[in-house]
Amino acid sequence: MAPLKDKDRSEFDLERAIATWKRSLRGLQATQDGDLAELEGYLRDKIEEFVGQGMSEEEAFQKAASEFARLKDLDGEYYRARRTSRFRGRPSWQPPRFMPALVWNYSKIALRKLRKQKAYSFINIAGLAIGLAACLLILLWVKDELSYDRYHEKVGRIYRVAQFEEIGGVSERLAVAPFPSAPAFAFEIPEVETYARLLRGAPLATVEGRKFDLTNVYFTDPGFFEIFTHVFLAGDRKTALALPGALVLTEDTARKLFGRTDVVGKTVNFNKDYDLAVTAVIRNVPANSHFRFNGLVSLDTIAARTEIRPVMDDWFRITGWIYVLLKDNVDPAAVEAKMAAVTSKHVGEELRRSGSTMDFRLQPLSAIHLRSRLAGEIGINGDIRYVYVFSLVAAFILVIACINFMNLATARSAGRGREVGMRKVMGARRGNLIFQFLGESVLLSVIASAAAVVLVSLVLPSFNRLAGKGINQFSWLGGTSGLALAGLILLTGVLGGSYPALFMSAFQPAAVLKGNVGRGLKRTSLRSILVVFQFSVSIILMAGTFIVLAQTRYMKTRDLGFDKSQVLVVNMRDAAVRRGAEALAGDLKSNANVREATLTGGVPGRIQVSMVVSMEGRPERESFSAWVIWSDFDFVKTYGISIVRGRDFSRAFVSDSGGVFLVNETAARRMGWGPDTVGRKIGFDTDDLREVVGIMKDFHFGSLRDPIEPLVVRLASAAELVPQARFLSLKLKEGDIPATLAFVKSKWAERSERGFEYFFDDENFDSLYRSEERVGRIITAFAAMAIFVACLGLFGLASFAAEQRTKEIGVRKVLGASEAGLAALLSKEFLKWVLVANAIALPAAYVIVGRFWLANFAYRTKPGILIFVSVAGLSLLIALLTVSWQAVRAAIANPVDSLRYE
Amino acid sequence: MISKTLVAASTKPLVLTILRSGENYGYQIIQSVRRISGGRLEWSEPMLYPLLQRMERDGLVKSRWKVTDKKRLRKYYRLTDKGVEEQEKEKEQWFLISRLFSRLLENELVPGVK
Repeated sequence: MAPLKDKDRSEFDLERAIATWKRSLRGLQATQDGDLAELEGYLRDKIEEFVGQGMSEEEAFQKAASEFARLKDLDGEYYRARRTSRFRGRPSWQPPRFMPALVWNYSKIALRKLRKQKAYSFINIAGLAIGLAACLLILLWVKDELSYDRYHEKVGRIYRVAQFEEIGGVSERLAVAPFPSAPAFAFEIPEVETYARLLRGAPLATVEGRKFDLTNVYFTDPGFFEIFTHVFLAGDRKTALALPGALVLTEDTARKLFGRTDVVGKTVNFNKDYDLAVTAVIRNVPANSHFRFNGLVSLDTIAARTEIRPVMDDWFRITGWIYVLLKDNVDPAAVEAKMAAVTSKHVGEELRRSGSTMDFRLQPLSAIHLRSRLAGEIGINGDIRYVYVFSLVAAFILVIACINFMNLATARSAGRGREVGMRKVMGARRGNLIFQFLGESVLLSVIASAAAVVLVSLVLPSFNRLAGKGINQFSWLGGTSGLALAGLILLTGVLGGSYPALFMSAFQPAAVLKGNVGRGLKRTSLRSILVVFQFSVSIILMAGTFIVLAQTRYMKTRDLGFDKSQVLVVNMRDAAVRRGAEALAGDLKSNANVREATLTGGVPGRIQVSMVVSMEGRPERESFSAWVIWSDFDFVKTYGISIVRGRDFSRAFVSDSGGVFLVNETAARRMGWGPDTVGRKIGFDTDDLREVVGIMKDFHFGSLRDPIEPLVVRLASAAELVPQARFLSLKLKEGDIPATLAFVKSKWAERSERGFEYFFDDENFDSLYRSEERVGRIITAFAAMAIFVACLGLFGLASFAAEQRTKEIGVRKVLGASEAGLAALLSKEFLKWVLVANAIALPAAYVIVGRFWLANFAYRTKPGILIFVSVAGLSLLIALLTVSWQAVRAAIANPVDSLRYE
Repeated sequence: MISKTLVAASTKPLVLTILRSGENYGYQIIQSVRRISGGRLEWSEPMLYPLLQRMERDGLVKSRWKVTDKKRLRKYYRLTDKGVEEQEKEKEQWFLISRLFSRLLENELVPGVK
């Protein structure tokens, strides 16, 4: 058989092949000897079977062995079959197929870190939570600002007609427009579907004998409900304003008048003059509307009245607002062009004669709240720039919080160098580590955002008060806000975790495991840059806050050129009282506490009438527009205004009582008569010119945002005073103001059925700056938060640095360093960076806030060096306090503790 | 072809049922299944061995080694009492499913007939 053996060796040896095959199986861990014997038996049976079918031994072996191609799977099956645990996992030596099983390990490690480093975790989570909360609050505010008027279904087609006019070279941009233009536009321009004119009133309502003072009641056209979307509780949208005498009430007003809301068909009397029938009751106007009303009356009800007739017919009388609804897919610019043509057709001749222009523009409804800043706005608008600024502040606070997170996590990474090294040695790839660290930071941000949500819920009521908003306590988490929150959490987690993740995952395992962990960390450049950035932003916010507060203070305290203190202003809203106004004034002056009294059409801070002033001997195109106060003899005396040329009104001059003028210096300059102004004649009508008897020193009768404009005071005859005297100003003596007020009120009550309404002129002026004050308060709050979060971060870094240098401090102490010296050493490094931040931030704040924001004000404070010095000082002080806590603690520690193990 | 999941689900009951008729070894079990199914049920054959091992661990089968006349080692498996019980249970379940299918399909094939 020898030759055969030789032949076998050269060809195929089944036994050897099987032996080789067995060896390959032996490499598997789960497969034990018994299994191998069993599998071998199977293989041999198979081979026999195949040979029986006529295959060669070699073919049979190949075919039978090929069934073991998926050896790994077989191995896994054996592993599973042997496991005693019911948990059927993947054998540990196999690579993950889908989810890394280490996720469990990752979460364990993450939670362990949280538990073991409580202070660090707290600083990190608190910082993030506060940052997120601030960010959320601002986003809620921004969302609310952006939501104005968007609840109207046809919002994209609704426009307000604004009037741009130019009279005597002075251009005016008005939110109001002449009423006859509206039907003209609607009838002559096919693209205009319908219109609604709004005339504001504050009537005295009488219901079943009881009287109510109503405010913000608008007289309007039937088109109102075609344009605007309101929810009807009772009544029909289509017919609600169709007929004269129709009254639509809001829910609250209906409750106020009747105590209930099902009041359709009831009668309400206005001004003891005319009866109205309630045709509908609607939901209260949403808070995010650029104007809100308490009731609507059909404009036709009063259109025919003699005092309203001119308003309805005269293109040069502007007292109300006009809204139009355009047809679908209409270009407003095309409509504006047609409006110009219509205007020219109706009043072109008169405009040419007077050399003036009248332009109508369409303002999209959704843009009014944030972007419209015209004269005669229907309500107080917001400002898109604050939306931008606050959004930026929100982003900055979030970035500061993220930087904290990055800084702390990176600094702490020294402690995890070994973990990273181990993981890498065990086969972790960089991607795994990045995943782990990002996961950890997302976990932290989820915890932080839960805290932030709680925080926001807690402070929302105060925030609403601060910002003058009504954001719902419970609904804010829903819908887009919820989505935004989820996005924010993820963004924060990834943003905050990305640097530590990339940084740590790049550790060289060999170096780290040898103990050279800190090597890469000694280079603090990036962390320092981040600290500088954080503090720069905080300092800019702080300086901004100081400047805003300084400007607000400046505006409230600046000498306005007249005496606004102790002036009580009574709203003369009852025509009956106005008819006996002079008697009332005399009556009041009998009180020893009332020094002066004057009846006027407007008071400083609240002048609503502006008219075109024509000049004697000058062409009409030189006429200019000026603010007008109709007044009795005592305006100048009551308000302590000084006369720089000529004289005050005087009863001693018989000619005065026919009606003469006082003008302010700005108006006098505008007239251009120089020193000869006094004695010249001016008027509101070229046929009726009156003498200028004196020039008043310029005083601020409006907001300090705006430069002083021309003002004329027209002495009104007794007959003219009755319709014009809207205010009675009383200059009071210092002393018992409440008693005087009670006296004035009793005198009012003797004469009128309407409620007594009054204000103090200085408060009235303060209210002009309410929006600045509000901005100041919001900015202060958020600057404080930003600084707090930045300090948390600094605190964390300082404690980390102190910990890292424990041994160094111990050695220094042993060698004789003083505690103060050590504390200084530790603090110095951080303060250095805060100083750098100051150097960057202060000029930036000066430019951003000092230039851009202050530029809005015609009269502004100069942000003095004092502000910047105090901001720098404050930031250093805060940083010092933050850092020194840790520094001192490290410095006074007993060196024995830190050196014991050396 | 029978789907992978169904093969996986039916392997254990099939092995139990084959062993019901007496002691047997892996290769023979595989041969039986192939023969009875007419080659339509394709097992990844070596996978049977870990399964047998698991069944042994679960106490459904017992095994012993035998030396064949060709001096080869063979591991024989037979059902335990628990294995018989398990087989009865499995049988019930498969019959139930089978009956269910037959009924459903009858109705499907002859619509309208209840």
